[in-house]
Amino acid sequence: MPRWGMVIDLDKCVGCQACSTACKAENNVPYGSPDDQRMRRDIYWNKVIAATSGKYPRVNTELIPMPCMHCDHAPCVTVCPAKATYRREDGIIVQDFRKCIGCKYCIVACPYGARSFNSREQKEEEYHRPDLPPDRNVWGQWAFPTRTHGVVEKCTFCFHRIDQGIKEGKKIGKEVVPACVEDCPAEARKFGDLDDINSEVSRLLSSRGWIRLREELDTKCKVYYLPK
Amino acid sequence: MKKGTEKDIDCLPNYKEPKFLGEKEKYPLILLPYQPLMVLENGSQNYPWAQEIFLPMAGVGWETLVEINSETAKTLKLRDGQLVWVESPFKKVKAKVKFSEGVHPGVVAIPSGQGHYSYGKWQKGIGVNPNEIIGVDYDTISGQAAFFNTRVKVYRA
Repeated sequence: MPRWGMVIDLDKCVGCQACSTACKAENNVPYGSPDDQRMRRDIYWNKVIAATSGKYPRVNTELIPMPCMHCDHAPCVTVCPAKATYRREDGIIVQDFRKCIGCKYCIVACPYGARSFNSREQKEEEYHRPDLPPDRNVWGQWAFPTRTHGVVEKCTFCFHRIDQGIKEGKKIGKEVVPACVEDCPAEARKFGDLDDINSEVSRLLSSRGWIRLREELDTKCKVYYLPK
Repeated sequence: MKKGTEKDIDCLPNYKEPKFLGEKEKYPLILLPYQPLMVLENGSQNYPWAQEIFLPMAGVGWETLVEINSETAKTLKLRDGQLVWVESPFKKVKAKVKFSEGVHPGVVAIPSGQGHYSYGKWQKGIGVNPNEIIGVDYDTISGQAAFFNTRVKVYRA
């Protein structure tokens, strides 16, 4: 069984936020409003954060894209009382909206702030998606999810794309990648199988030093950063 | 060659004092209206997905921030997130202040791209436009429009 992971090259990331917007377009994540942002209620599955250090003449800003880290020892899976969030066999942590009771315990438990709570009903709108067939019934498990309010949401590594690609016999990591990886103009993100030594992510991880965020918590997350 | 012209040609790089609008004593800081990454053309803030990630360095959208060095803000007795007036010799605008270490101590940086009076549901009435308070002037050497030569002062609203 593969273990899907992502490698983000912080040297190449310029903070253009194409990944944030691509994720919202792919997964139909609703936009916020000024009031939502003031109350920290806006939903991001993938946010680029900036960490600045130093004083004026010597300042350094790190732009860090923050998807869900899909930890092997995920704190959110441990704490979920309804078993709504679980780890698939290929290592992707998914959230079952039908089981979620909206207790937000996983938001508190997540050390990376990757989860958001959907606190309002989303309007039923037609989105222009020419890549999908016109009949909704053949879209499959995930594509363009309609959602109810009162559940916790998170990044899914675009598992609908991966599942569809495996079904069609395509190469995951080369032909089929998550939406954020596909849209990155600098090609700072790479997606692939961490257990396969011939995949591009394994090659990148062996070629340079890498870091994982909050290594001390021993979450064994599968999003690796190549530092500057 | 015409007589006397050889004196007017600067064969080596030289320095000329830049000219600013406004007196230095009254308006101590220089306004820098910059264009953030999410501003492409007029009207690019009318997409709510682009509007909510307007300023990635501050992690906010839906507003304009007056970016100022923390050293300068300390002398002006400002708090982070406070509403301030930015006043030039011509006009003044009100916006939230944000301490930013990447800004020069003598400069106030305000992102352009917000402050539309109309032109769409999502960008109307959000933020301020720094180009409203800059003066109309031309660069003395190249003759191009000068956007960065207005002096301002910042004080609590």
